[in-house]
Amino acid sequence: MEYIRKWVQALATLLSNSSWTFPVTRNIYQGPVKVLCSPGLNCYSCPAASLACPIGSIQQLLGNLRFGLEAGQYHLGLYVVGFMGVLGGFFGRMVCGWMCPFGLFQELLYKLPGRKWGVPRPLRFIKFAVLALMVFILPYAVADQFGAGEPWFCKYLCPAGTLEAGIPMLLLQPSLRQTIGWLFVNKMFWLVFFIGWSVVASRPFCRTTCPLGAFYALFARVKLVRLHWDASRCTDCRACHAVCPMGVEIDRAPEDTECITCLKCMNQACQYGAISLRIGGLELQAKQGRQRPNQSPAA
Amino acid sequence: MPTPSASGKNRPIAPFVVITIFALAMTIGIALDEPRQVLAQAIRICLSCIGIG
Repeated sequence: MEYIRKWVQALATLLSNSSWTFPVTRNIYQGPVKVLCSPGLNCYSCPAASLACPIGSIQQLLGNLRFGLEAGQYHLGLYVVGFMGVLGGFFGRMVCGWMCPFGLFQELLYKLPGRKWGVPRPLRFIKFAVLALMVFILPYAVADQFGAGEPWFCKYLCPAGTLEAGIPMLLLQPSLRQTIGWLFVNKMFWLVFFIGWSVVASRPFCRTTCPLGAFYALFARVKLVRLHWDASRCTDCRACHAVCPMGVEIDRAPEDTECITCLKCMNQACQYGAISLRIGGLELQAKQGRQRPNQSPAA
Repeated sequence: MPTPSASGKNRPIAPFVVITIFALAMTIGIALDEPRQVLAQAIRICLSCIGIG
């Protein structure tokens, strides 16, 4: 299953970045398909990006909301939030585990050899503050002298934008290099910081900072596709703890907001069939598993 | 390969309610012509988004 997931991740990355004319045009894709949002974090100023980033789109819509309201246009971001909500209702953070290009990038970095560390659990709450403040509140509330807001998350923090768009566009358009300032230095700092952290810890950006992951995490209790933990089959061996890339302990918190439904715990760890996948209440069990040692055959 | 093993009893209704609400929000957004705004932003290089300018 892990093999299939890797292929799905690669395919999603390719589909989100399927415009490969940029070596000739030296510009980003400007076709009509970009009206659609990508499910994962993928900067739409990436030269190869063929879809719009939902987080960037929300900030842009809210930043221009004042102008819109004056003109009688109510562009509140319902299209983008609705799109993310439908995905969240179906899959929750499974999108992070299966369809996010930046998630795949972090997983590849984590494969580099070296000592590995965990991520302190309280840091998970930062991403909810990032979502509320930098994506929703500040782009609307803080306006310049012309009444326009800024995309705070994209401008000051997003490492995906620097990696996928900032660096490639500087290479493609030399004239942009003259505009490099402290803003770019700040963005490069965050990119290098998260790359370094991803080498020694599993998916640190997803776990601590990603606002898209925070949004999908809100659906942990109401998503259609979810993992189910069966207490009667669990031996408390904690093998599932060891394989989880997000530090989830499914036997302690079966509906943990961090679970990206990568299925490693179900397929690679649990030998007793205690973890299964449920879609809309319908159980898909990977294997029956061995019987729990202290369980009688009649039980 | 996974095989279906349950009868579908105890099927939760909350996900369907949530999906319907957000699908409705998306429909309202489309009716308000938001996709055109999204496209207009997405086809321009956002200099501040990529840390330049």
